[in-house]
Amino acid sequence: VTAAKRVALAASLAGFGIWGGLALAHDPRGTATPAATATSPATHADSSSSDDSGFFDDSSGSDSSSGLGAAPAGGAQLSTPSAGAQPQARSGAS
Amino acid sequence: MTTIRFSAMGTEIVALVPGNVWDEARGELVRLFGEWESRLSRFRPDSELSQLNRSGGTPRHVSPMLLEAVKVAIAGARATDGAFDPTLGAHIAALGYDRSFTEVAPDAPASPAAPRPGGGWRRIWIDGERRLVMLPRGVHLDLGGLAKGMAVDAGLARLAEIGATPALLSAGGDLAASAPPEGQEPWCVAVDGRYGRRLVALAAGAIATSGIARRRWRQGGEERHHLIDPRTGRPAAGDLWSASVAATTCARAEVAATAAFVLGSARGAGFLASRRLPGLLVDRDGTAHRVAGWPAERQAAAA
Repeated sequence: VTAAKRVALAASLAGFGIWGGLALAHDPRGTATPAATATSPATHADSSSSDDSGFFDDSSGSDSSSGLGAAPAGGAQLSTPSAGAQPQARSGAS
Repeated sequence: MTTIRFSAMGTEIVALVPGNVWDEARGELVRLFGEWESRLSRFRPDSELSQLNRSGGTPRHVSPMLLEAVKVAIAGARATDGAFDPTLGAHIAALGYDRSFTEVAPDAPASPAAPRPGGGWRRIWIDGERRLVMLPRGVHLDLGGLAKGMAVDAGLARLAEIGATPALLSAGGDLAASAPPEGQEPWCVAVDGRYGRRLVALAAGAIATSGIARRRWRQGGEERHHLIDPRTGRPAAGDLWSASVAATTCARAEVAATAAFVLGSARGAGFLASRRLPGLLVDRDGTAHRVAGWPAERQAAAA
């Protein structure tokens, strides 16, 4: 695949990540990748699931595809323990 | 409820589960944490993470687990504007923490390398479909605390799958819990401060703490700890002793706690408040600051 064909192909594709993937597929040692990806925020993370804007979004609920585990609806639920409650676990520097 | 305890990922794993599923739950957790450690430890030369760290500049095919961990790490770095930085592996190794902490020399020789800022995560390249990751040359991932948090989340999900609910799962103090049945008391968690512990009730979700009470050593006569400030490449020199954060998942709590610690009390509090993440920030003098709805605690009785 010539550089000109790559450019034409890239122009026909909407997603920068798709271009990056194709570039890598044609050049598995990755020599084309840095140039293809160096000028965009999409440089890293094929960006399909790197949801940084919602990273701490407690309203997202369960999302097994996020890699963040199954989140309880409504966020973490903290309160003051009742009198007499005994610690069952500890959170501290480890 | 019965307790499960074992060692993995360089720390103690503790789970509270219903007694009737103890055997199955323990087996599942030992297997799960063993897999996370074998893939993501930076102290095992044969781990998948170590192999990726040695492949700088070349795309490498990775497992779904490592791919997801890298994606979450980068998302966490973005969400904290780099205060959480998963690409400080070479930095912390240069500071003497280049092996399991129990084997770190208490006073390591000084490093000849000058500290340099982090931020290498911005240049990681990923092709998710083909499960390819390329690290920039010289950039090493250290997924330590985040990997523990993700393993806790995965472990809790696995416990739910086998019917082990409610459950609480902790890896060295980073913990997550499923909701107890309606009408039952929430989990009671003791959160470390500088001079004692404070009790909070956790109905569901996760709490993680980053701090310098542990994993400290000396290098060339200077005090070191494991929480690196990516702006300087040196151990964070802020005013905090610890940062505890509650979030929906342990991975989120871990990222936020590390970022808040690095940012220090004022900026850390602002960061947590802006994300509506309840936090307890403890200064080096022991003063505690409750942020974004962290509840009034009860002091734990002296041990």
